[in-house]
Amino acid sequence: MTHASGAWLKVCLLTLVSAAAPGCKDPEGDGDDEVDDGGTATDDGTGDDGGEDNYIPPPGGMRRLLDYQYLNSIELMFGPEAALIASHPNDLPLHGYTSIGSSDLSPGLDSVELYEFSALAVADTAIANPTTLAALVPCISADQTDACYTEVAETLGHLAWRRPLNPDEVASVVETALAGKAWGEGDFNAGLKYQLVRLLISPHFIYTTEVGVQDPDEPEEFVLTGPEIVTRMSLLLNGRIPGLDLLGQAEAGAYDDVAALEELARTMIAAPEAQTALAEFFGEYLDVGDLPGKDTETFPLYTDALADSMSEETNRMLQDIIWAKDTDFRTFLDADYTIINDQLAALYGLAPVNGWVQVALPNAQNRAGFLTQAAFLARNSHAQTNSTTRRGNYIQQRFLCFSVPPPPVDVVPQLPEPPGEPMTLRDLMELIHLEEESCAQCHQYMDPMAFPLENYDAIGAFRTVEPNGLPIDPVVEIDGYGLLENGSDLAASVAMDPRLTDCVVNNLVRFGRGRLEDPQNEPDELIELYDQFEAANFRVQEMLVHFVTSPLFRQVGAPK
Amino acid sequence: MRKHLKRRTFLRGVLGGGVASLALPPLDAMLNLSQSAFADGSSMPTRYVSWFWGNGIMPDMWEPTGVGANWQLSPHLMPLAAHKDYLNVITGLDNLCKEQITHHEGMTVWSGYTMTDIGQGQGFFSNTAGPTIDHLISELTKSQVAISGIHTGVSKAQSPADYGTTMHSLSSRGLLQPNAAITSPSAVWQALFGTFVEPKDDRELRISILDATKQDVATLKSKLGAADKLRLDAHLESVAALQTKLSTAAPVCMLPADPNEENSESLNNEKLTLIHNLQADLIAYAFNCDLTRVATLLFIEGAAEPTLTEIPGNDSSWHEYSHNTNSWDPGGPFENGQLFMMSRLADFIGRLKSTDEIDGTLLDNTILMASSDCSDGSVHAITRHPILLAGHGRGYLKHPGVHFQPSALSNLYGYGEWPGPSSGNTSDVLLAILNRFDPRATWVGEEPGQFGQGAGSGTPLADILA
Repeated sequence: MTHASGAWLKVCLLTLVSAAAPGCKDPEGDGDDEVDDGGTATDDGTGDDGGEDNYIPPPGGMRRLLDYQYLNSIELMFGPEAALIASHPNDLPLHGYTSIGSSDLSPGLDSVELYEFSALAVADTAIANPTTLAALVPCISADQTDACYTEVAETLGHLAWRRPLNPDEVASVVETALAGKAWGEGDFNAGLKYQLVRLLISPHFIYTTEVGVQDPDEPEEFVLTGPEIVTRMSLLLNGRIPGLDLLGQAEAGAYDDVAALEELARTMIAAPEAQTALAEFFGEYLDVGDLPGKDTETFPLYTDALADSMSEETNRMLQDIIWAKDTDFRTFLDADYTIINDQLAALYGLAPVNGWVQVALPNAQNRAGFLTQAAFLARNSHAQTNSTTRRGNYIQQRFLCFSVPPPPVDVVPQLPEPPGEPMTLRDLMELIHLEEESCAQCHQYMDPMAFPLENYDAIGAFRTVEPNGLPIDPVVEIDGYGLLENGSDLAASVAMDPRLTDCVVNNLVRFGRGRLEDPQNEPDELIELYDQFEAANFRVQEMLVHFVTSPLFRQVGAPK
Repeated sequence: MRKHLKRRTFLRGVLGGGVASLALPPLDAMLNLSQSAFADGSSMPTRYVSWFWGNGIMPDMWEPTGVGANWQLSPHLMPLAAHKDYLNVITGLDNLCKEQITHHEGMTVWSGYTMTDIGQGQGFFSNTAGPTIDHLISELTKSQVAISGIHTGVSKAQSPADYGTTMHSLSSRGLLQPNAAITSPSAVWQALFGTFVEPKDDRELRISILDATKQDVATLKSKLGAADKLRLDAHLESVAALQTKLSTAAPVCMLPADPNEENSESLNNEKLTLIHNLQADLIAYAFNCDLTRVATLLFIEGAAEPTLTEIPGNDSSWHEYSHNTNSWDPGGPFENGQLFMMSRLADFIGRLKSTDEIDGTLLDNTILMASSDCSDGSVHAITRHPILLAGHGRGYLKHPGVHFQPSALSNLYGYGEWPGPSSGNTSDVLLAILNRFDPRATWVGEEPGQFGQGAGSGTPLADILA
C-alpha cells in the first residue's frame, strides 16, 4: 500500500479552499444532507499589519459556560446534591460545536429565566446540604451573622466570578443578602439564598471573558491573563471553573510563564475530570451518540439498546486508547481489537460475552478500528440501505478535514431504479455518481472511499452479498492510498494519512477555543501543533498539553 | 420518567400549596387581566402562531381545488374539514429566496430573508439572516403581556444537514439570535406559568437582584467588542423579559398544572401526538390567560431523520420518505404522514376553537400560519410554496376563508418535479399578517438590494383580507 507524502498533504490542507461547487447531479436518495461538518475557516486574511510575526489570533471576547461546565462548577461550589438539581439553557451548536455556538450566538430571551430558575433551586439545595459551601465559607454554618454575608460575597464571589469582587460589588451583593434576610423575617438562610442567586445569575458567572493584555510588540496579539488562561484550561481540561487556590496563584502571577502552564496542564490532565471533559469533545466531534432510526423490518436486531451499545463501543475504545493505554490516536482508526457487549457480539457474529470485554476482531470480516464499528456504519447509512456517499463524506469531512461542497440546486436526490438488470449499490453509484463528469467532481471524493465498507450493512453487520443476492466487490483504488481490498485496508490508509492527525488537531482547536481554526492567520502555529502531535507519537494527552500551552490557546485578538 | 397526566386532569388541575391563582372562569379573567383591556378596544388581544412541519407536501394532493370563496378541501386537507370556514389556503406562490442549498431556502417563507453565511467551509451551513414573522409580532405585542413569545417543538430530531441555525429555528430575532424550540411540555409549562406559582411571593426581591446584574453587564461591556456587546444586549433583553414576567400580576385565570411530561423518549419512539397536544394545550391556555400573544410550534424539522412510528407504515425516516416518491402511493408511508401532520394541525386548531373568550373563541382571535420548508419534498421545490392560515384574527382575514391561487397546478406536474406554474411572493402573506398587528408596516423581509428584488415584500396579499 502506498501512502501519500505528508508534506504535500499538509500544504494542501492549509491552502485548501473548498472547490467551486461543481454542478453534480446527485440521484441518491439523500443528496441534501450528504455533507456535514468539517471544513476550515474561510475568513479573509487581511495580512498582518503590525508586529514581528504573521500571527493574528482569532478575536477575544465572551463565551457562555456550556451546560456541563456550568453543572460541574455548581458541584465544585455547592456539592453533588446541588449539581443534581441544577439546570442550564440548551446549548446550540454552530459549526458542529456548542463551544462555537456559545461564543457567537446570542443567548435566548428565556436564558436569564432559566438561569434564575436553576439558581433558586441550587440555593435551596445548597443551604439544605451545606457541607461543600461551608468548607469554603465556614461562617454559613458556624457564625450566621450579617458579617458572614460579606465573607460569602468575597470568597464564593471570587470563585464564582473568577476574580475578586471590588468593594462596590461586595456591597451590592451584601445588600441583596440583607434584603433577602428582611424578606425572610430575619432568617439568615433567606438572605443567603438570595445572595447565592445574585452571584449565580450574574453574567460574571455565566460568561467567561477572554480578552487578555495587548502585546506591545505584537499589537494584534493579546496574551490571556493568568486567571483567564487557567479558567480557559480548567474549562477545557476539567470541564469546570478553576478552584480558588488555583485562581489565587494565577492572580499572583504563578502562571505567567509557559513552563508553569505546562505543569498545570499535566496536573489537570491527570485528574479524573479530564476524561469526562474530553468525552464532551468526542461526543461532538464524532457525533455518534444519537444514532439514526432504521427500518425495523429490515433490521429487527436494531433496538435503542443496541444503538446505545454501538455508541458505548466507540466511547470505550476512545477511553482505552487515550486514557488506559495513552497510545497513538491512530489506533482508534486501525485497532485490530474492540470492546463489546453481548448485543454487539451478536451483531458482529462473535461468541457471546459477559459484560463489556475486549475481543480480537475476526479476520474473516476485515474489520479494523472505528470505520468498521457499528456506530460509524449505522450513523452514515440510510434506514434500509447503505450510503457510500455519507460514509465517504464523513471520512473526508471529519477525519481528513476536506470539505465537499453542497449539491447543486437542480440535484434530484432520489435514487433511481437500477436501469435494466439489478445491480449492487456500488455499481449504481459508479453509474450515476462517477461516470457523469459533473457528478464525479464531488462524488469522486466520497463514494469510492466507502466501497471497501460495502461489506458492512446499514447497522454494521458483515455481509458478502447484498439483499438482492449480488456479491459485493469491496476492492477499489484510491489516489494516494493505492489498492484497497477491504475495510481493514481502508482503515490502515486513513490511519496513516497525515491529514487525519492534523484534522483531529483542527477539531480540538475548534472545540477548545470556540472558534474555527484559521489557516490564513495562524498557519505556523497550527503546523507547529501538528508537528508536536506527531513528535508525541500521536498521543492525545500530550497533544492537549501542547495545545493549551500554544499561542493558539494562550493568545487572542482584539475583542470581537 | 415522570408519568404524564391525562389531558382532563391537566386542564382542570389545581396546583398544591399557595398557588397564585383564583378559580375564575377565563371570561372574567380576561376582563381583569390587563387593567386597560376593555378601556381601549384596540387592545383586545389578537394572537399569532407559526406551525411548521418539515419536508414538504404532495402538491396535487394538498392544494385545494377551486379558488376564492368557492373551494373544496383537497384529500390531504380533509383532516381539517371541521375547520374549513376558518381556513385561508394560499397555493401557487413563489418563495423568492435568492440562494438554494436544499431545505434551508424553504425557511425564508417565515421571514422574507434569504439565509446567510452559506457554506463557511462546511457543506451545509447557513444562518437565518433576519427576524421571523413571529418575532416581529412579539415586538409589537410584548409591552402588553408578560411573555413576548413561546417557542415550542415536538420532535427532538434535528437536521443533520445544518451546522448553522437556519433549519433548527422556526423563530429568530435576527442573525445569530435563534429562539430555540422547547420540546419538553414541562419546560414549556415552567416558562409560561412557573413564575406564578412560587410558594411565597419573592418577586420584588428577585426583580431587584436582576436589576443588580445589569450593573454586571455594564462592567463586562466595557471590556468587550461590538459583537459581544450585541450578545450582552440580548442578555439584557432576557433580564428584562424575566422582570416583565415577575412584575406582571399573577394571571387571574386558573393556572394549569405541570403536565409532568418531558418528552424524553428516544428519537424513533417519540409520542408525537401526545406531546403536540400538550404543547397546544399550554399555548391555548397561555393565550387565553393573555400571558403571551405569540407562539411557534416546530412539529418536525426539515431534513430531520427520525422514524415517526406513530404514522401508519412508517418504519424508515420521515426525511427518506419525502425523497422516495415510491413511498408516495395512496396509503403509503409519506401520504399517511401528510394526513397525520394535518390531523395534528387540526388538533391544534381545534384547541383554539374550543377555548371560549369574551368575544368568540380563541380561534376567532388568532392567526395561525402553517407551512413547510418546501412544496414537492422530494426535490426541495420552493415554487408553489404551501401556506395555510387558520383563524381570522378578529375579523381581519376572510371568514369563511378562501383559497388564493394565481393559477392552477400544471397538469404536466409529476412527483419529483418543481411544481408550476408559480408566481407572486410568499412574503406578501407575511406582510398581510404583520399588518394585522401593525397597520403601518410597509415592508417585511429583506430590502431590495443585494439580491435585486430580494425575498421581502411591500405588497400585502389583499385577497385574503376581509
